[in-house]
Amino acid sequence: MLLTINSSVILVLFAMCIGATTARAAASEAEALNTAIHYTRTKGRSSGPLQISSSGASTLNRAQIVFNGTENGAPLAEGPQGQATSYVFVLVSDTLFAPNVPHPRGHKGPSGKYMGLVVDAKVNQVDDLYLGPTPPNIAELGTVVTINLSAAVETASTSCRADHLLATALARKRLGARHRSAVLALDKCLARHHRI
Amino acid sequence: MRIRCVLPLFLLSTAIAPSTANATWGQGCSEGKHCYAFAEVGIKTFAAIGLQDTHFSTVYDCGSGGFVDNEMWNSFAGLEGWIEVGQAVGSPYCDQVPHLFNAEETSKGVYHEYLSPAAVPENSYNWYAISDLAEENGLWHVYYSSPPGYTGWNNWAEYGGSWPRSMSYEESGMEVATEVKPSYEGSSETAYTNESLTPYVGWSNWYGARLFAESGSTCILPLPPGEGEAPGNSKFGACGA
Repeated sequence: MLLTINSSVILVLFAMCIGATTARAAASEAEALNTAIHYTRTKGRSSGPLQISSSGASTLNRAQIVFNGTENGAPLAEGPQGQATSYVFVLVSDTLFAPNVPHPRGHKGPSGKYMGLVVDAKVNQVDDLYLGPTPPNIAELGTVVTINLSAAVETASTSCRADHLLATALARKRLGARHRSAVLALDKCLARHHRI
Repeated sequence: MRIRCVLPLFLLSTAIAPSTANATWGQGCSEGKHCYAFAEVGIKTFAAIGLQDTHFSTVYDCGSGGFVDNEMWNSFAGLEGWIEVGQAVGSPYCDQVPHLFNAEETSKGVYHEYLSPAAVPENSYNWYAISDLAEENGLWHVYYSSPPGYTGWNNWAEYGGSWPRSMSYEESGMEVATEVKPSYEGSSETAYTNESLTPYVGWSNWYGARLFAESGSTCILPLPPGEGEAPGNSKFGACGA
């Protein structure tokens, strides 16, 4: 009997460890959002305030079809990669996005009022990019929440942990009052450090 | 038509040496002003094939958005926009190895790019094609063959940005988008076909192709005899000013 119980406990603990490892391996929506913002500030060469809409977790192929429109075809990442868990964001700023991306000589580099980004959850990197005059309809992928990221808040988030800020901002939208305490703690941190 | 899968490195080795990081390089090359070295030709065709080999690569300013690639571009008479496919080193994957990518800028100004987490080997020709052979309907397919070498075509993307049934302009080579001179050398072998994507069946060289490089920034040479010499086949990299 004792042996049975101990074995069960060990199995449960082992399962918890496996679960924890799996959870750490894939980026969360907030971590993916951080990646999208970092991409926007570096490769995206955008420094202004951002309005960011997120449709939550989806797959690469579903996101690609929404970005391209079914009538225009789409990239078709094959096999497991096409089904990779991905987070989808659409960003708009006060200026056009003109990221540093490939284009032929003699052609103006791509730009757009709206920038769509797909972040692969497994590697936490942007692997799919949309630029255009109209936003792709990511509501087809899931419930959309939108947050505004001012330069002041983005700077402040360095002191108050960007992932905490963004997770809280998303949670505030997605989960409402359940994360009220975290929101208050964050607001206090921001006020203390940056008077915003 | 002669395509080889092994390319000895020596032709540009004296002209293209791994660089140290500089504040500026070449004749104004930067992330805002991309520099190029490529073979170009204007052939009306249903399919273009580009074999891309990245010999070595280090992108020093990857963290700020820099990249270098081997790629093939195709565009269409009288229309803005293009379709491209190839392998890129640099941002956002700062692992200094080539990653598969494809992209389309439609004639309406919508851009879509896929840059895979998957890396492809250096010092190996990786096979890519842009083709409308299957349907001839203006919906263009981007194909790649899982490396190494040719192992069969994978239909990787379908782009239909209001394109005509045939392309009219082809380029294959390198694009540099860095603030710091990269250490980079690659080569490219090319073909076009109106018959079949099956290797060499009805394939033709890019006859009449012209080689282009940015003076003082990028270097390009035709592949010599014994290394895949043919019209449109070239070896290129960042060169000394």
